[in-house]
Amino acid sequence: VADGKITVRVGPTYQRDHDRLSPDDETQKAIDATILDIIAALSENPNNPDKTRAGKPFARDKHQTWKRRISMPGSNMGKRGALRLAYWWRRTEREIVLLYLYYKRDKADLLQKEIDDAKKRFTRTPTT
Amino acid sequence: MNETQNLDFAGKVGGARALIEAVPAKKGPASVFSFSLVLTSQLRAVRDVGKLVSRDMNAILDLSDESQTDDLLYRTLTSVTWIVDSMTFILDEGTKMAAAERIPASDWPPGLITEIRELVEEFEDIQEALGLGLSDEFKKQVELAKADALR
Repeated sequence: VADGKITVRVGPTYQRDHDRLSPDDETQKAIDATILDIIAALSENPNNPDKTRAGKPFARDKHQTWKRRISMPGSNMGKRGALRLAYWWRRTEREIVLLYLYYKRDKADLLQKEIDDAKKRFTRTPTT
Repeated sequence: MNETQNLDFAGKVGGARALIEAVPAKKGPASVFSFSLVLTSQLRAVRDVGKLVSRDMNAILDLSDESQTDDLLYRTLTSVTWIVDSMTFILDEGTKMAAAERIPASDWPPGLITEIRELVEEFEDIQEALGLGLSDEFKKQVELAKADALR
């Protein structure tokens, strides 16, 4: 897939996630629309793209790896919530590498561990 | 994040939360409590200040790796988690109460509630970008995925 300027490469890990989830037509359309949004945002501003369309960079990763929530049609949200797409923005090569397609709960353990660490660091028992 | 804004936001959320908690859950016929305008104005303030706070938190994600210190990232993760948990509680409880007609429909306007729900999703996105970015395990997974993609 390419828009003439930015190339999109499908990584094996993304392909594995995609095969596992086997999205229906409606979901696939939402995924495709999201990827087009990302391409448009990165084309317009490769160094500081519009985050509504490009998503958010993961912290402390030199703004290379990003995640974007996929806006799903209401009927497809289900109990698992919105899908996420993680991608690698290779700025110099002008290439987007799709890395993961996942639901928030798929990474919930990793996220919760960091939240617990954060709370331990900054939530103190009041002293009397 | 701007400390004053954070405290102001905490106050607004606390205010709305306190209003909701002030209405005791009870069985029997639904009764209407008159918070006319008070709850709505608090919710508007939550939305407005919440937007400012999310903008500040997004700015943290824009900083260079060197500026994203452990202290800053973990503090922000603590704050955003508190915001997500508090706002989710308020929205869920308020929606239940509005459905049971325990608060007037005019004090739980669907448009404003949708805006606040979208704001919570925005905070959840920030929470995830911070939390997974801090995770050594996630970083390892990403590096392997990148290497696989280039093979």
